[in-house]
Amino acid sequence: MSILSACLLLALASTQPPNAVETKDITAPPEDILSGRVVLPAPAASPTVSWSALIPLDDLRDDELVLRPGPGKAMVGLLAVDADRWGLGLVSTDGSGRDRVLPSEFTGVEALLPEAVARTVIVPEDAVEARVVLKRPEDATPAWMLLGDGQDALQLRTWLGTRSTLLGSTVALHAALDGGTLLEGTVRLRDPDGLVRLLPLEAEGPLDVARFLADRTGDWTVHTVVRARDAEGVERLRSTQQIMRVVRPELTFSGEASLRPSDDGSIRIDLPVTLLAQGETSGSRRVAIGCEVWGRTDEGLEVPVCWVARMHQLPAAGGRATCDLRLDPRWIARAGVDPGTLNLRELRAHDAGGFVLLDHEPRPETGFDGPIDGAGTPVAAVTEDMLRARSGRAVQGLPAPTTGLQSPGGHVLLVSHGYCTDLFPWQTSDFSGDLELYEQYGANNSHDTFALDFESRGRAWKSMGIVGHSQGGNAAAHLFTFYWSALDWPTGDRRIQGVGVPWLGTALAGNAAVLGEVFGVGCGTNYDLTYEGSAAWLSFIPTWVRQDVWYWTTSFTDGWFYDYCQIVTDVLLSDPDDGTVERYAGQLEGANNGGHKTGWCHIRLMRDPPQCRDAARNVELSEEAAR
Amino acid sequence: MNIPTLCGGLIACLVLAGARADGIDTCSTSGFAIPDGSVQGGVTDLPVTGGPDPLVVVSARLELELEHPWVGDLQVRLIAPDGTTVDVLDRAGRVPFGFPGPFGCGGDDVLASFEDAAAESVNDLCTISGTPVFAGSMRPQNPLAGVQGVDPVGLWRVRVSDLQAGDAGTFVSACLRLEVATDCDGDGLPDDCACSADLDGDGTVGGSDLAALLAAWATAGSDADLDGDGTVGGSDLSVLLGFWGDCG
Repeated sequence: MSILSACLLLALASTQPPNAVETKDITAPPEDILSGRVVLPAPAASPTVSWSALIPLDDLRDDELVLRPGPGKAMVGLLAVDADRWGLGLVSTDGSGRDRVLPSEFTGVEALLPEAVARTVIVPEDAVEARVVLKRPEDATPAWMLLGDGQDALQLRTWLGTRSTLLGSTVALHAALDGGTLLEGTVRLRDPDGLVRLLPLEAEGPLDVARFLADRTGDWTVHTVVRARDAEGVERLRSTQQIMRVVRPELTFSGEASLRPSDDGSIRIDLPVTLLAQGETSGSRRVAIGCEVWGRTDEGLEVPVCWVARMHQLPAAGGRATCDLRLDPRWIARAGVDPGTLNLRELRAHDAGGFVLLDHEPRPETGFDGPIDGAGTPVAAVTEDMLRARSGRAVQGLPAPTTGLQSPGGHVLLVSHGYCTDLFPWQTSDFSGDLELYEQYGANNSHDTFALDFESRGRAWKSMGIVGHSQGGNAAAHLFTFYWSALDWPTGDRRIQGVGVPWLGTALAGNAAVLGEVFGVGCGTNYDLTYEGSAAWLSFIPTWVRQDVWYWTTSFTDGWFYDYCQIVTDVLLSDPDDGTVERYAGQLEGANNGGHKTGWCHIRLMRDPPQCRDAARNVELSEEAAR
Repeated sequence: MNIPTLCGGLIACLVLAGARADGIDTCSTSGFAIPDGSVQGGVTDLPVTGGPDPLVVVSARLELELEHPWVGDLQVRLIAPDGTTVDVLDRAGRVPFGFPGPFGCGGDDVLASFEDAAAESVNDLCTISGTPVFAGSMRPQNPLAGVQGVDPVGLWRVRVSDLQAGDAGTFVSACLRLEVATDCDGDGLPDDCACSADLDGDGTVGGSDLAALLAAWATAGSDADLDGDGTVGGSDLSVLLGFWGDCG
């Protein structure tokens, strides 16, 4: 290792960007390929699912403001900046034909949009019909209606047909309905310049599809509204709200990959690429590249050897270049394959901010530049340095904070909030020992930028463990995966602990983006938190990272009738949820599940106390943390 | 020629196994707690006792056993009897960014042999998971060649300092292995003491050499000052007689 290290350090010193952060050469064992953990799932595998409808009030017909409640939770909400001036009520009719007038309640929707407020009213359990009654102020601002009709079995699933939403590409929005028949549907697209396009959904086999040209870079909102008939013949509305991130093809694979022996004893995988110049794109110039390595055994079996990946900092210049990955020959010995049969599969490059797929070569041409002597002695066990190795490469990080640090040089527990926070969520008196509080109020960062900010904080400490709320957990896992930092050095049981972390994403990312058109974007859209972005990101998180993650989920106290953490977001999520993250979406396969508690919600101003105020768990997080 | 063995101090031995180049091993197993966050650190003594001939160090190797949960805190200095100092370990792995990081290697413990001929430098050997993190043979921070030419006789010291408070450790043992050679003319370079008694250069130590020594009796700065003590006297006569015969 030493000769290699010396050479790499030299490379680092000569190419060191400001506030450099060293990247890791990441490897996952073949088991991670076979289990699908480091495989990019098909877009249909991470759809946005909805059992409600969120629609501009002015788009609704009168008859669509009459609900025929199903057996589940039914409610009506009106979202507007001036919802306090609106009148909203329900006339609920029970089975005996008796009417009841129900007034609405005024509520904040901080989890969705800090600027908007809502009026909501719950449909009684005995209602067979509920008619919305509205009183609109004369100078009313635009308002949206949220209709949760309680027919949970009728669900709309939508997904984009590609993860490679590149400028100039044609994208297909797919829609499928579960529990009923899709009658008609419309996709409302709003591009980053604010231009709105309406497209009909058209039947294509078992699915309904709308195709469009991605002709603007940035975050688009995709609002799909369908009229459907449920199994009982009742017509209902459903909608999904998504973000689509369109990027330029900043990096394209452009030639035969070649394997060659490296001076340090490893095998270097050279990948010819074509880059757009920095001026032609926006963003961090960081790209995650990964691929599977396969080979053939003496028996002629084609088997996976390992998966290798690394974050790359692209140069400012465009044109042809070479990116590289590194293969430790011990993996070849472990797989028992002939080094001369090595070949690459599923070569892919993702933008670091959102993990949009920039290019994908399922079976790239692979050549050899020199003899590969990888057979070696079979390894008794996989060692740490086979999974996370020094790359000798750096990306541009963030400057370290100059104030607010305590006892630099010790072993710290970094306690972080999540996306777009206005108040520190944790009860810090529950924690003991050296603590560093991560406080970036109102911030909207990609997992990558968030992680690099953690790295910069960690520079003042020998080692750190991280307790992250919400996106803080994603960012910690991202840091441990891609970059060397103080997070690599803690001792103790739990390196990363997360509460209410949207490992699989949250529907609120898309909903906030769509509603943000009207109510202001708050902290802005965050593609990493979408179901699509999360699925792509997770395909770069190997098992060895997940094994160092402990996570907990919570949800509302479930009583006998209509319970929720936040009445508006509850209808946009599937139960059980904590008001922001659904229980299922808070699971990280391969990680350590600390359990699920009811009676706790994601943040303050929800129905149950905020999950970060659970003193019993906080004490455990503090005591068990690696530092 | 007889092989003299002289021992002294804690466990210090001088073994003259040949006429010119020989080895000295001097060890200390007196463990102590390394003061945390102290430049002063802790010191262990490694005494070396002299023999009849003047000696110089040709090369050195230091074997160290330290228990410490963050070896990147540590500075280890080898201090020769004449004050010559070599940094064997100096916050190994400390880099401004990346791995191991600004606080050096965070691994546990040292059980290593520091020698200039080793293939790998201590600064390149840090790993996440190995314990002891520095194990086996490795090059020191600065070359131990720094003590070449030093008179080995006297008190060697190993100073172990922990330069970053917060993690404390223990010195377990140190063994210094010195390759030495005779240096009868005192110029810091190895030479052949036997032939230095061949004062007339005829290839043997005999009567004419004895005559030359007696002629220089009690003078200073003479070639006949075979033991390098400044004057020609009885001890020089003993050296000459000890090498009586063929010089080759």
